[in-house]
Amino acid sequence: MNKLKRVLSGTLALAMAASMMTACGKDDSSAGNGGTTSNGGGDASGKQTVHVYTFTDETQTMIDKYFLADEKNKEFADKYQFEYHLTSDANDFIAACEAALTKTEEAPDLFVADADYAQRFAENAKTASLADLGIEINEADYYAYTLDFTTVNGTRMGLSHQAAPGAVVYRTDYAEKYLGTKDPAKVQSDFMSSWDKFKSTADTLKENGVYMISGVDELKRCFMNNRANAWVDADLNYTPDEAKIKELFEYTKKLADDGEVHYIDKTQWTANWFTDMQDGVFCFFGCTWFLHYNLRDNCITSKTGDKDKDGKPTIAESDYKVGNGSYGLWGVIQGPEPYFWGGTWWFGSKQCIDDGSKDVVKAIIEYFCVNDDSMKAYMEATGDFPSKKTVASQLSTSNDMIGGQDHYEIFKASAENVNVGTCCKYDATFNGNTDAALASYCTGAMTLDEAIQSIYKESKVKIPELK
Amino acid sequence: MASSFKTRAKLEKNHFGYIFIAPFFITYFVFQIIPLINTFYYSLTDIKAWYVNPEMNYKFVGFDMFKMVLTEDAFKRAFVNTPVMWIMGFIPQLLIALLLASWFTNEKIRVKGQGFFKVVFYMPNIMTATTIGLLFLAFIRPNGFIHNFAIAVGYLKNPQMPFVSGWFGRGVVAFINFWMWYGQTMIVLIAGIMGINPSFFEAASIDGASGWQSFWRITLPLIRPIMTYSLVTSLIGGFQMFDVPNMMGNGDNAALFRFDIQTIVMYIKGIATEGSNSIGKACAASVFLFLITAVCSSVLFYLTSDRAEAKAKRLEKKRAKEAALQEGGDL
Repeated sequence: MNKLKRVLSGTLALAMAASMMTACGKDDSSAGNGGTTSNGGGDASGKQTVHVYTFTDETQTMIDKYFLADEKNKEFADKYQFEYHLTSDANDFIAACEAALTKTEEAPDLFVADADYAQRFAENAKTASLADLGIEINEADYYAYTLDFTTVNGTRMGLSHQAAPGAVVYRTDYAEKYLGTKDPAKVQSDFMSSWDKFKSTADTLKENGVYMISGVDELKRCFMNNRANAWVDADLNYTPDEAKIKELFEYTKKLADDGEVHYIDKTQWTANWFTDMQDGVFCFFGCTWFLHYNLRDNCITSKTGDKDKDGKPTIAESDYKVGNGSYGLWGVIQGPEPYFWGGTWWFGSKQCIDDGSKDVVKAIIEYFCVNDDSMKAYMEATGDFPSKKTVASQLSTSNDMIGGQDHYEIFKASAENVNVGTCCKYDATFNGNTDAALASYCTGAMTLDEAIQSIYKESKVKIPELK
Repeated sequence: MASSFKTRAKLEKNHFGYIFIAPFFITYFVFQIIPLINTFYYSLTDIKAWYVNPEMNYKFVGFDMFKMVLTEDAFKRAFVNTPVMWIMGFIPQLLIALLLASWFTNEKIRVKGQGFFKVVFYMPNIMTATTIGLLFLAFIRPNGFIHNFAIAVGYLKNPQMPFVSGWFGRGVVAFINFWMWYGQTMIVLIAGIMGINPSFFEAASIDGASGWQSFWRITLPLIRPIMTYSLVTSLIGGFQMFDVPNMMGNGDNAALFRFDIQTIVMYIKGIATEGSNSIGKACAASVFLFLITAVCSSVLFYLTSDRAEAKAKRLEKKRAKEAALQEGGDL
């Protein structure tokens, strides 16, 4: 009996320990929050380690699968190994990266930032300017906003490889069935060109059992990018565009009350959001990278590739075909208002100049953000949209995920209209609190006034200097 | 003369002990006392985190940060949420643990497979809070099984609507804390009960006491020190509650009742690591947390300590002293 007990409890404890191990493993489909991965062969290689701090697994893919895989960069592949420090939560990443920048051990040589905090990183004392890194650019070639975004007192700090103008990605099959046309130009002009038309389209779809959007946080960027000014001015005076915020809140609430939002919850980046890409929801406010980074892998339902370590099948190249899930049943249009969503800015640190890895940092930034040929090759491989007009003008495609449409056509037009006057360095805090306030208002947990007040109150908690 | 020599010899023999306990005190001093004093010091300044403020510039602002913290809704909210969620979790935790502990130690019942049950009950404590928090978040989100169940039984009328009730959110956090910790409390209480001299129970049963009576009259009074220990450690842990509610109501996982499950440590962490990284303000909030915890622990300690016994001890001491004085006088 005693032995049985011991064996039993031992087994259980082992099973528990084992389950913890698997829980620690990185799951590609969910937002794994943190972790360090290295592509180097270990210590014996004698290569210098380049520390890359990032909030997205895309960075590693770009460096490993594009930069290092390029024959021309063989010298760097021989000389350096890369260590990736990934933290996906925005606030945690800011803290982790800024803390690491003050150190010399494992300090970032190369780091990337999302739009919410790119300005903040650009102002960091340890960030090297483009001139420090020896990167020269022809400014006229770029979409101006991608440069202005990270310019501090006239000094250009970081570069983005992508411009991220927003668009509306909609289901052509639902449009054909319930709106009578699937032609992008017609859908745009007759059904989506204004917020009023957007609402009546939502009404029509609701009658046919199709939700207009997935969650209450879907419309926020489209409204908020069109505010009159940023959250704060240079002296940290709180300057919200209350009219616009109210407009967003009331409009979203109306959709939610009428049952046209699938979940009255914040859904972006959750499992429900990704599942909605397969069925039941008419449109997503996506942007350039949304197409290949989010929609492409999540719109397909049948996966026939090799099993991953959890035994789930991965996506085989042949799965990307029309008729698998909603693949091929999408169209891209401008939508009611122009906006942009994120973008990835690359920064070199002063550390990379000190530790001698400046050449590779410079080469990577130039490879993705300056050099026309390699930039174009990357954009063609992924369908991403470049920050350089000179490259964008050379791009055209027939994207079978969106029914053979050329998404570059839409983005080329909208990239010119991007307004970044509404950004400030504390956007991560303000936008996070706006999300929460919006969700609270839409569920009825707060009144409109309470919700709008709460944005200021909650932000003031974390930014005591706010006036 | 001879006696004082003897004493010194004894001391010399013992002082190696100090070397053995030194590592603890050094670590405690470096990692606890110094940061504690620093926290008080920086709470009077407007210092920012070192990584946004590499030169470590700061100026004294007196009690401004304390005032700011006290006037904030977020602090008041956290100050209510934290003890409420702790109490909601701790009461069932202690009751269930007590019940299980008395069953497992009861000679009359002789529960079979005790080792198995102890392991099973203890197991949730081994899992990381992050895992459990995420798991429950998936359960209560739309399409999660608890959410679907609530729709099926008609608690939620609109299937598109997530759980929004703040009390529901607090209940989930309290349940997780209860579920994670009752096994641990049970083990501690079992140890306490096993420490009771069995002859007390024997004598009681010979005198015809029922199980209920011997529980109330023997077990409970005699495990009071252990109960106090559980209560005080749980209280301190409760005020520092962070991982589970943070997993469920922050960042990308912002559930709708995030305001109702925000705890004091979440509030402090938010100030220190987000926005403008105001360490000074975070320190002021931490000082409040320290004071609250200290006061509550002392009150609990006072309430649960055996005052009658302490009084008797004091009286005895006094008498002994008087007696000694008298003796000295006689000499």
